[in-house]
Amino acid sequence: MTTHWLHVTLSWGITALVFGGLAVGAYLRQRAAKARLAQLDPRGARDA
Amino acid sequence: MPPGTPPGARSLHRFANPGRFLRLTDPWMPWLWALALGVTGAGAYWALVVSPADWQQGETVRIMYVHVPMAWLAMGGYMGLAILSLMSLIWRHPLADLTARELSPVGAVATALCLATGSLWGKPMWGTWWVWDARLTSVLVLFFLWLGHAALVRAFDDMERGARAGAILALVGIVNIPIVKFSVDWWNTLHQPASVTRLDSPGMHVDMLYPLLTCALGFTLLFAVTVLARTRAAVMERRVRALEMARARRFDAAQ
Repeated sequence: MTTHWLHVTLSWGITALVFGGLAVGAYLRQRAAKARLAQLDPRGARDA
Repeated sequence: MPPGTPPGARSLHRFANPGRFLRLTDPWMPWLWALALGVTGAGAYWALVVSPADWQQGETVRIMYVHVPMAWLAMGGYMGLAILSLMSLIWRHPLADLTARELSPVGAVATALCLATGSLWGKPMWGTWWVWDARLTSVLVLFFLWLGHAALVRAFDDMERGARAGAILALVGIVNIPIVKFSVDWWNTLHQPASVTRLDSPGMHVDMLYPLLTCALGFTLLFAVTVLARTRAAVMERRVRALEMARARRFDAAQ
């Protein structure tokens, strides 16, 4: 792998890892809060 | 709604009710995630495989397709933070506080990625990882402003006091945005001047400009959907805390 492609791979790699990790984290956090809310407030989404 | 409220505020206040905000945004989330991932994926393929190498910079020009979108998000996101801060201070809009609180960590990450990918681009092209250049230094200040806001809003037990302090910091820091933008024109910088947003004509061939704009759109969508999902989670978590407190009070009363 050339130096150029090494730097390109590192740049895209950390962006995918960090930004992707942030997006997955947001998705999982939202899903957990939704499940917990459904548990605590069985009236559902009527006025969550 | 009190008389004399401007129509714009009336439409914004529709979202003041967290329950309505959750109900309105819920059906859109899967589509927004799919759209964001689809556009980003297409942009990445276009940037890494289809677009040409640069005659001077070779393959390292492909770093531009992540570095530039992160820079735009770092600055554009901060403008969003300032607008939310105004909404929070002027109208005490409850969702503005929550959104600003969830936005600043994401903005800090985008700014950090902008600095990191710039450094990875600078080493092969400039021969150095870092230089105290006006553009790089002002973006580093922007990164500290993002971090400062993320830390400040979480430094108070009373969330509202933290939100207000963070809103003031965000508005004070807005002065840095034009400095970042025009640093390459005001000072003699190693960093190149604007090439895409030049008013007369973009100084970039369409074979590179179009994948760059696609990547920018994709990362912007991903940024927005991530902040939206975090804000939804924060609204639900606040609701969960309230329900748990109520349950604990009922339990104590029953003793």
